Amino acid sequence: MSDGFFDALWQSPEEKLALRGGLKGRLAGEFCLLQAQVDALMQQLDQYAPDPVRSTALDILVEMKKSLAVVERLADHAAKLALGRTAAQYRRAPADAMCDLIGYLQAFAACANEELAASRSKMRVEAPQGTGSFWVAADEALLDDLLANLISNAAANGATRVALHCTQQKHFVYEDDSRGPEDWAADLLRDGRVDQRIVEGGFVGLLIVRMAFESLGWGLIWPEQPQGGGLRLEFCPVVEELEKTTPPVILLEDDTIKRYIREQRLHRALQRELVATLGQ
Amino acid sequence: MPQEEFVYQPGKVGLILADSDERICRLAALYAQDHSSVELCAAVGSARDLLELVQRGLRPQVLVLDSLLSDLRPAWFVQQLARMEYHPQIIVTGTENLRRWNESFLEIGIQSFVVKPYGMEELFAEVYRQGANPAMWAGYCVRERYRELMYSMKCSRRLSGWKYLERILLRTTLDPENLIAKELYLYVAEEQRTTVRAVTAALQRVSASLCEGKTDAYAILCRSAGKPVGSRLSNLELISVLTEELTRTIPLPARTVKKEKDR
Repeated sequence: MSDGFFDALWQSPEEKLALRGGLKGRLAGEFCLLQAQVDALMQQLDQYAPDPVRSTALDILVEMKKSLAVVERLADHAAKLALGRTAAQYRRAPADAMCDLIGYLQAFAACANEELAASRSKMRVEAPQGTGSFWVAADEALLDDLLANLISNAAANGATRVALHCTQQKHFVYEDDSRGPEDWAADLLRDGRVDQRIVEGGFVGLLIVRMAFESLGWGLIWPEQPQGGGLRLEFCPVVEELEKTTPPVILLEDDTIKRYIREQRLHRALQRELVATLGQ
Repeated sequence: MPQEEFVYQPGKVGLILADSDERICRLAALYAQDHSSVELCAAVGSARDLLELVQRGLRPQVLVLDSLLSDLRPAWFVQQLARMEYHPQIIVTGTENLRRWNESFLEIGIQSFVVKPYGMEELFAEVYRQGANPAMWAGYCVRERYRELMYSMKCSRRLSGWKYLERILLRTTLDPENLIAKELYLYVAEEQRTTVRAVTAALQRVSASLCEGKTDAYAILCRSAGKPVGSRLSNLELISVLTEELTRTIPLPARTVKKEKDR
């Protein structure tokens, strides 16, 4: 097998495998083709088909696009869970991956609020205030998985407000005002216990949440849950002492492109989750 | 002070696509046939073929490269383009597993990345965003969102009012000047070489068609206009609520459309 255009950039065989033919890569390639086919077909019908064929066929294709998005999300979840089981190290954050959690949460909240507004949801996400930093060892793709699934779950459970903040004890707190977790959901998040109802109901989102914070190496404190509904989770991230581990040059880095990439990735992760819960 | 004339010319962005999957190249070519904003100059199966086209003088604003192309090294490729004094916007497509791509892109001068699975709609939008100036991009967003809205309300593109309404909405969303309805009709009539009467009649036919469609999307428009669901909107109401909807979902400065007497 010859090296790909970007293969020289990848160090590990797992990354090369995932890039070229791993489960996620293959699914992404096939879904890409399907979406491109639907787009091309929609455009042809729109331009050339006579009414009412055009109108009926376009309706079906619009529905098909929505179904594709839902199936693609499920396939992605399934692939992540499969990878999590078979190649846990693949999901682990690279040793040098560092993230300013406050900056990340602010960006996440901004993107989430845009996506929620676009889908006419009343739910809003509140981010930590201020300009301080909180450096943690974390792969942002795993943070995306963790939060996008929690947000989507909150929206599906009637929440109107989600608050994300960091404490003085260097913990990260997630809170929402949803109907609150079922027993089986609490068991899964708290202890990793997989109830039969999760398997039967296909509630893969919470499995992803559990897998994401485990892969990040974060602990979870299960605080007393709010009276009258709501979910509160307190995570203990792996905190990075910046002065010990990184040269000061990182503070001078121009992160414009990084921020743009992060926003693009967050919008994508949120759209994918919200399409299933809010039916955008 | 004389007012600057509002001219919206969408302008096309040229593209060469390189993807080793022949099916993607074929679909891109089919999609590009009727795309009003992106011109696909060529779709090739390798980076070397792409480079040959550039050497022969084909120089579009944007190049799209799939990350699985197996015949060239990216840094060398970008160097070759620079040697020919050609500095296009380069977009790379690939899976989100490319974890280190951001730093690597910075190093070799690639501007953007489209994550698989993407649709043609998404890819062409990114091509346009990269290749066009901000004003052209804002117009693109308005036209695409308008098209989506009209899809969802089952409005036929063949109605002449479809095009007139698009031109009006481009103006109400992009032009900093607030205009009265009559001026808008006159603007479209002159631009499309027809009469004001023909424009208003065509808009009424669009409004009737939307009403007959009885879609959920139209019900939302009626509610936004403060009218009972299923009622027929006047031309002015239609323009106002669609302008509102477009400015709500696209980050553009909000505009209002006034009746003549309000001015």
